[in-house]
Amino acid sequence: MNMRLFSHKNLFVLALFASLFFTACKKDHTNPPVYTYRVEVVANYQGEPIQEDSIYQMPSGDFLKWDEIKCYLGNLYFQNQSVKEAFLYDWKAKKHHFEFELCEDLRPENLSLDLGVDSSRNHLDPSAFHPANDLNILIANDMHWGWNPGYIFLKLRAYMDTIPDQIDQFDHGFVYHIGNDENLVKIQLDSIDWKKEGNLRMMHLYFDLHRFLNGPNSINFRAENKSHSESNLAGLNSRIMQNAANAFYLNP
Amino acid sequence: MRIIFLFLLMITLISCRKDQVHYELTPYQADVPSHFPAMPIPPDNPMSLEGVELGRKLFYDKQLSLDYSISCASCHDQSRAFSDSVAYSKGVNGTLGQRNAMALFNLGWQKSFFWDGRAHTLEEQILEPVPNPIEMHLDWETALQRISSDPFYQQEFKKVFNSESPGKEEVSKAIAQFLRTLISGKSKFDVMYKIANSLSLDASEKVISNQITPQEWAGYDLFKSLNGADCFHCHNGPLMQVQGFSNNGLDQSPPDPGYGFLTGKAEDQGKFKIPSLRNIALTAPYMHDGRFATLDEVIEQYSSGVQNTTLTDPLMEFAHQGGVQLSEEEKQALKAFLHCLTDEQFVKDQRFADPN
Repeated sequence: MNMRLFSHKNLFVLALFASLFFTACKKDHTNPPVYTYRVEVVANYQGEPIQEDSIYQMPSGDFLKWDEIKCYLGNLYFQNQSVKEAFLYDWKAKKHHFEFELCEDLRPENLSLDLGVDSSRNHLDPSAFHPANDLNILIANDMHWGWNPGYIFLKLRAYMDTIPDQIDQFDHGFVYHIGNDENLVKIQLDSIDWKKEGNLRMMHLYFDLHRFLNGPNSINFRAENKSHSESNLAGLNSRIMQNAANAFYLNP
Repeated sequence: MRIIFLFLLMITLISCRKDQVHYELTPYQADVPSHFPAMPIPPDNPMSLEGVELGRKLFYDKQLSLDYSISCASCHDQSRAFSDSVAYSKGVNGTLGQRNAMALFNLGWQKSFFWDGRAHTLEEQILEPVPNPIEMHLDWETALQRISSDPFYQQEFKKVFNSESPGKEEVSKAIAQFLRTLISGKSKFDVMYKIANSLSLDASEKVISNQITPQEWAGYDLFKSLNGADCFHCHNGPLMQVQGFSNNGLDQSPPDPGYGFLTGKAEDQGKFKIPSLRNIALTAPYMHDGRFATLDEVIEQYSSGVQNTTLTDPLMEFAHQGGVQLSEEEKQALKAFLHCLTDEQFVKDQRFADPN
């Protein structure tokens, strides 16, 4: 009898310890599934990702090497749902993608965005943004003018070889630093092709620099080879931004 | 059965136990100016009052050099914004360095360290000067023996890192904590920056704003003008620098590869870390090799002495004509503006001075 009583006691205490042990550090398993959406921005040239030090032929026949491709993609909306205030794409620094999470497997079909930073944010203190926000000055770095005109929306820099003699002589080039509210361009893209991998949804946003060079606006890259958003170059700035916006597409 | 109970009791108590706290550290709140971004602090080196003080003691301690002759502060003098007055600093036995000692402030926001950017964190950077034969020339083993045999350090390292015999990583972390407190953001320029960015001024800043002369404003306009001095491509924002590397056209053929030595790329030859221009009037001589003794010489270099080579930064748009070609009046205005970058409070702040 005593033995049985002792045994029940033991079982009770054993169960108590076991429950304490297993519940103390237990993870919460009640969360609903979360879907991670990844947007990969790919700077390419006639469908091929641009490589550092690679040489590309321009529509004009000149050759070029890309040195800097950076831009702000702002106000990113998927199917009218805001997912990101701003993303700084930096080809050379390999800052190519961003992610967001949704509790539903929506796989939205439409994407709208700005090429640039809208005026409601463009003139705020760049130090005041959250450290993880791409608009924070530590991330923006040289993509902010340092005074009121705000952010540089698009930076493109390339070296050009203008003499067709089979000798590499990349001693020309163009540098565009375009900002200012009036140069922001809106982009709308449809028919997103989401790739699925478990709870990850992935899409590619292509930025084809061959398209940029090719139009729709004509730019003389030898002569019109510099702009820093000067007001006397408003026409060139506008052509550069429109060509850049036209270079974004979804499906190859 | 008792053995099982004891075993379970032990596991239960150990599994969720907090680490024993030997000393309650006082968190250090960095004095970050309102127009600066938040300072990123590495999670493995949170700042405490005690850690900062320990770091300050180490920064000024000559025990960290082979012959007890120099400390970090020997080449980083507070009155010069923690820079040195000579082109190449003298290490132990008078050995000369190979590059100009960099000024030390606002280090918590830097993304690379040294002129060639070879260190990626402040903690990593601090590990180098102690054993470097042209600097303090003391192997870490000896340095740690000296520290561990010092009762003050035994006590303080026990407090801050829970170790009476610290490793070099703990020494580096303590110094890094101190260096992160060296924040310079109270100059006349800071008021100008706030005005230029439409940020509000407090009462004392409003007083300063009334003291800014037309010549200083003219210098600021030149500084950020493409057709003026064109300085802003490399020096802008609240830190007065872009985080990056540039070949600023000093030489036809750079004798020091700088960043190019690290990357091995031809186009990076002669590139060096872009320094902040804060406190620039205090940090002569200038450039990575200290070749210019005065601000006038520096301004002249950018005005008419730029070497236009395939390595010269393409953002220096007037390199093809030797520089931005400033008039004498413009040079004086630019110089007046550069003096606005001096933070007098910073160089006199007793919190950063030698504690001994």
